[in-house]
Amino acid sequence: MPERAAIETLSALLQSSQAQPRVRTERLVPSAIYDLDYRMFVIAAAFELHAKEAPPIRRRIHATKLKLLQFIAIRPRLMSVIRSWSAAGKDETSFAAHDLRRGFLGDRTYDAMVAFLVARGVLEWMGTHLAAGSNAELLANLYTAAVSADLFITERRTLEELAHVRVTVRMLEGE
Amino acid sequence: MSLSHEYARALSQLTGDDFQAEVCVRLGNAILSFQDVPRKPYGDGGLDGLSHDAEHAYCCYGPEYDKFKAAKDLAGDIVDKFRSDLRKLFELEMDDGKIVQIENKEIAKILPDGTTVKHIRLVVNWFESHRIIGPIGTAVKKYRKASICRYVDEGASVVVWGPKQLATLFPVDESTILRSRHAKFLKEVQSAAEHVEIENPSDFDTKMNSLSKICPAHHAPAIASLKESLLSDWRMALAFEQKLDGTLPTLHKALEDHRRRILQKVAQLMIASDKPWAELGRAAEIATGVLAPDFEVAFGTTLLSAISSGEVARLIGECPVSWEEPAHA
Repeated sequence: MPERAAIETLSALLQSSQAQPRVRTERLVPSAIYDLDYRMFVIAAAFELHAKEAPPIRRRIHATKLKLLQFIAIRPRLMSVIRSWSAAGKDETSFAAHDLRRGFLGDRTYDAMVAFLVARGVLEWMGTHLAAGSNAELLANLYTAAVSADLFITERRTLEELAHVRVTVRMLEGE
Repeated sequence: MSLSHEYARALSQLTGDDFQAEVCVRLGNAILSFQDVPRKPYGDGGLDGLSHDAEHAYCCYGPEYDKFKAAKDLAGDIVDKFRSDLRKLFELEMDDGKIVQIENKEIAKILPDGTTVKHIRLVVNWFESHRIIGPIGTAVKKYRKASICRYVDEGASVVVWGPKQLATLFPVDESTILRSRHAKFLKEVQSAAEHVEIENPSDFDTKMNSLSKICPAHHAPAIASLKESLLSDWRMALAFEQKLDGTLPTLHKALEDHRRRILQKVAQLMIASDKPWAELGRAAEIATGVLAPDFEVAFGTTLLSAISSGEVARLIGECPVSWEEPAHA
């Protein structure tokens, strides 16, 4: 005999008990992943922790690397995947690496956020890199404020751990 | 990569029941007379499928690769499993190292009267070693001699098929590949769901305790089991969401939007109805209707059904849909 679905059992029990229904749509909490303020902080933290000085120009970071770093900072469970991917070198037989590449490259919210930050003069495109723009202090201030308020500890810790993972150009751009 | 090569690869990644299910669907599509043999409730008598008036028999095995350290261990396990299947067909058993005749009562209820199997295909998800063939052939010789061969013809052929053979023997199209990918994805989500931790389920616990209070005491076991089912479905929904979030962000956004639509639809029906809980019973159906356009083709109907149940369990678990004791209680 096919099993009765849990929700049907619940429905029958509630019906027979004459319980009063309560529907609270406000309890459906949207994911922070689509919160632009949160995303701006994560990009700020990734940039502050990973961008490098490149005299005579300002600090910069490979744009795809920034995309990858912020993607993992939000999803610390992927640390093991990036570590194995980095360690695998050219041998990319791992399905997890394939999935991660597809995942972070498809992060459209990041693209929209970067477009906003470039338009705001916070970041600036320099070929394959994103450099600090004329209003770059916004990122630094945001990061400093979060650190002093002890906020977003997991994301910051993940970004710090990522400093010990070698991310190659091949991982970002392919051969 | 050719379609048959890709399908062989997808097949080799399936294990256990998923592998057997895919083999049966594949053979069912390719061979008109193919008959799947359900294992429940009496066992399959050693047979997973039959065709050609039950003269061709199929036994499947999809070992879990991570249980084996070396290829030779895996090959040895495959040989052992198929020897065991063959003994069932020949109605034999090992007793203190000796082969003895037994009666396989179930096989008599599976094969038509007077039919003996003339070809046996042993289908496995890993066939990268010729060392599987010799021991099985030797076993077949022994079993022929030892058995009274009531259900297997004395001259029956026994052949091993691996993913490559199964992929090349019959045509492969995109839907075949998609089907095998769905099975793999479903398994990954199910496996991830086992490790998903639900953060702060206290509201859910309170709600289920309140249900126990308002229902008659004899419903207690049903409520306990219901709680486990809802938690399991909820974990499945979370695992699926995590999987999408890490690999297909665009679909994750769609899921996020759909979740709100499911709640709105269920809420509208419940509020408008004089039997609101009956509407809740249809919530999974509503969820399937909302999710299908984006998820059915990409993930298949089995996963869609699991996601729908999971999303509804999540609405209960995260408390947008809740209940209170009746006024007279």
